[in-house]
Amino acid sequence: MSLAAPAPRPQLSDEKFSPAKLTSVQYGIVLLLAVLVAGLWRLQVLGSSNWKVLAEANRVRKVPVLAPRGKIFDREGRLLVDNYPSVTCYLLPEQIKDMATELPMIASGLHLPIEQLEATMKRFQGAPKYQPIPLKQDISPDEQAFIEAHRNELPELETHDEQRRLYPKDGFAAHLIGYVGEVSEQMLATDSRYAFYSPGDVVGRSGVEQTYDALLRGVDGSRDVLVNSHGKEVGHLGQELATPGKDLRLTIDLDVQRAAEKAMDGKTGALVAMDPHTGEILAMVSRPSFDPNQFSVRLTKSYWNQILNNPDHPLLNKAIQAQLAPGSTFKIIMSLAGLQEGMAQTMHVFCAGGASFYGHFYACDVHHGMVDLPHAIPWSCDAFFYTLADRLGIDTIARYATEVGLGQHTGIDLPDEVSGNVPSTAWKLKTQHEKWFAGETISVGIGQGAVTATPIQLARALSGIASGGVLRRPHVVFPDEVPADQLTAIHESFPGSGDKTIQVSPENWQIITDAMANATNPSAGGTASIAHLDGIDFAGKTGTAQVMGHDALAKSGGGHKTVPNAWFVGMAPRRNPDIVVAVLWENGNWGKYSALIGAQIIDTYVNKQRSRDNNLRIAENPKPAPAPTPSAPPGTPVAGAAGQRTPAAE
Amino acid sequence: MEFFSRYKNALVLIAVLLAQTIALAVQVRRAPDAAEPDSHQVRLLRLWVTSLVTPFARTAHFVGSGVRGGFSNYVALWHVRQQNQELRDRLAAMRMEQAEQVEDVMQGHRLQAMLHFREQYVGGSVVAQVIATSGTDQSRMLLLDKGADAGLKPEMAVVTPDGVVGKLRDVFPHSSQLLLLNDQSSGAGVILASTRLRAIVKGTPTGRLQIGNLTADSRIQPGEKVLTSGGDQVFPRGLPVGTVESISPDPEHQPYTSIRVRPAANLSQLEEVLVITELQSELPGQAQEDLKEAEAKHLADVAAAKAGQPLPSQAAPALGRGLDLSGGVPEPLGAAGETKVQAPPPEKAPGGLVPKPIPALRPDRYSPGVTPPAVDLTPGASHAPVSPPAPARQPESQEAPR
Repeated sequence: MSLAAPAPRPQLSDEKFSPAKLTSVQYGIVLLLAVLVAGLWRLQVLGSSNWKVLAEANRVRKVPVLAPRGKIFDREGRLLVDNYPSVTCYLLPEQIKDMATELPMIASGLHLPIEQLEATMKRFQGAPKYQPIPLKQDISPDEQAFIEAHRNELPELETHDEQRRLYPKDGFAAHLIGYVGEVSEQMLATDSRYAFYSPGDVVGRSGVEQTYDALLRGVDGSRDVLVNSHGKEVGHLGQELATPGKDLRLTIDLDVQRAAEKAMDGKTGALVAMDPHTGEILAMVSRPSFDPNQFSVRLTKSYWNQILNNPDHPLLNKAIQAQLAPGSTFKIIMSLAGLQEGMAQTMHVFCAGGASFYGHFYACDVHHGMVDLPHAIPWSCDAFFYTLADRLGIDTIARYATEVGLGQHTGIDLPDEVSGNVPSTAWKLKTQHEKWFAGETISVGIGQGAVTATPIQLARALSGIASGGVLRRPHVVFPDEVPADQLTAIHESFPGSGDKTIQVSPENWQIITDAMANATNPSAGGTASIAHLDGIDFAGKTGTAQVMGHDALAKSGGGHKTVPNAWFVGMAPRRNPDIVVAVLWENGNWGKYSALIGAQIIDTYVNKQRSRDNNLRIAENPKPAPAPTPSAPPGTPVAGAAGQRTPAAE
Repeated sequence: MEFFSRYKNALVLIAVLLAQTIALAVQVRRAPDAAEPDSHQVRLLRLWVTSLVTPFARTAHFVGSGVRGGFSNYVALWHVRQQNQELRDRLAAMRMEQAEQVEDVMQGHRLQAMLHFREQYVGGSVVAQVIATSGTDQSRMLLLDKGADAGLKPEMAVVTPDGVVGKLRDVFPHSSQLLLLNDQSSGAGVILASTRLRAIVKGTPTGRLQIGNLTADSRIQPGEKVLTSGGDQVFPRGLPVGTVESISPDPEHQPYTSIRVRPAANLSQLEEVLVITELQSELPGQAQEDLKEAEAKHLADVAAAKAGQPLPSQAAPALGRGLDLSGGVPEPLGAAGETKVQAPPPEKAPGGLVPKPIPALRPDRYSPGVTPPAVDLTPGASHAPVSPPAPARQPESQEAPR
């Protein structure tokens, strides 16, 4: 019995794991291993290259290195636009651990009211969690230090370095220089010039910044950064250096621009000063102005509203975008037409405070008596030009106006130039489907009616006439600053009448310019006598352009906006001038007041040229002429006076 | 019962694994403790582990430093008498120096008060021993032997007499973690002592200190002292951070330069540090009285100045950013302006003053009556000079290039 007693344990285990079961488990394990090996093979051999690429992409991140934008200088190399490094603070919403304790900390560190912080976060509530929220731009070094010192406690704060534009203060030359901003969706979608830009890129949005954006912006580089599993930077592999944007030298003369800004202070309108020999713009002012520095940081709502609600349109560059009736300044073009047509030389008109045409009396300011052309220009006799206009006919007037560049772009290298209007029989038929009435020609003769022009157009037209018919394309950047292919592209994208020569006989050239010199001559009774410059051959023509018809004026009951616009175009010296100025003072009342503004610019310019030539009474001790600053590339003319500095140069 | 005894090994294994899994879950999802506002920053598991390790680390450090200390104390004892005399002399010299500097300090405080500057002074500090270092290459952290029980809190500044060391990161009951300044996640607001430029010093992955947010400035020279600026709200103002070691352009971060800073404190061999536990924004009693006196005197000065001559107007704070091109440098033309404004203008028209040009010395192309008749001119051409320029100009030089 006792022998028969079985040894319990081994038997039990034998029962539990039968050989068949054991074998199946063994095969199971082998199968499992085979699957694992197959998986390993798939990962390590078959798909290795693919995984490698993915892993690298995860480990290496391409970080853009932004190229600094080119600086902008005046013609003598004086700095107009600079860059400054600026830091913006962003919040990564997905990194926030505890809103209640961290928000007050952020608020105190960034010196922001907590309500504003909450409002900002609320505004971005709908945005994806990984999208950084801009909290504050242009943060101070202390705020930056706060962020850096709290990297562990506040990992949600991030800073981004940016280069910002530093523009002149108080809207100095703001319209000419322009400003930069982020490229808009619309620009990306519709404008082929922005085909290679991506959203968020900063581009020139107006002025020189826009036209020469391709030159100024440079080429962004990039850096291959090694990051750990948390996305933190641990090192870097390689880099592609950014190519800084090209510095740009403008044709602007800071001294003339300064005088122009000062003269236009507190007024509404525009001023252009140009070198007629080359078409170089020496000064360009538009008023009211705006502060482009505000555009370089995120624009505040209040400032934007202030600009939008200003009835005088601060963003408009009135020098190229205000198309208004030129008033009596148009009489120069009338004179050219009359003389070239052989009509005005012998014409004598009796001015009895106006004249009647087609049963309607057209008024003149003064009772001038018998007037011929050499007197009609300085006296600005309307009766004479009514008669001349009637004799020439609208289409002849339109031909000459078009020839000197009115009714079309001048081709200046600034965006959004407007073309003004030159009325003609064809124009009226096309736009209003009506016949031209001879009576309409009369008011066109004094620059009223349907004729409109911009200050730049008038400056160029006068330049052409005063230079004996040689018209130049106005420009604000020296052509030699721009690579040839880009220059062609810019000329193509700013079509206009460009450089051209029109027929002006020397006799007519002399008659018009001598008459214009008399306009600033008190002894000749010129309309701009008030602006007479002693010792300077200063010639010009005033214009007082009504902003509404007599009937409308009577109904409006007056007010500042009904006061006539004051125009002036002037130059020195009278023939082949070195400088031409066009002034538009909106609601300035009398052209002679604009003449005073023009005279200040001419005075500044001539004084500067004379002081260079050691030809001023105060400069008894000859000073060496200021050499071009080192930053100005060599071999470029300085202030258009290089030709006169030494006898050998001429 | 039989089941448990039979599968004892397997069950123990499962229990341990389960416990670890739970512990991991707790580590990840542990709700912040309302009673301790900082508690959520420390994970429970780390707290347990640190609490377990700390006594051993402390003991090991105590034994090690005791042996080293005992030996050096014995050696030092030999020179104690001589050293004592030297120290007494130095103390006396220092007292003299201090007396001289008190006046400067007072003036400094007075100027700061005038600028409504709020200085923070170190109010209290705790001495702590370094008992362990962090194991990894990437992070630079040390373990200190004092913790929450000694009043330490995260974010407190840690210094040595030489300079800033870092700040507290995690604080445990009896120990705390010190994040060194040269860790790549560290940063501090600094000011360059002589140029007064504000900057940020950061650690690099290689454990150096670097200033990377300054643009090239020729005034910054190696050897310049770097102090804390106080702007980061961690470190009190004016503590030494280090000295500028080298300046090199940083092509990756144009237009910034990379400025390497040698830390003032020896960050790699720290033994004893000071944790600043309290900052006060007010001066000690006696100094406050002196300051009041100085303020009263200043106010009296101002009143006297107002009664007599007006003080030179201070430069108005720049309202907006931008280059100032409006007036500025007096040009040679400045004299023209003077002639314009002297004597009331004959006619003040809305367009501005009637310009009175400065007379020319000799006729030039701008002079009236010299413009040739149109028949003699080429359209568009520049004028020939009417008269030769001033003879004063010397010919450039004999060997001028052809």
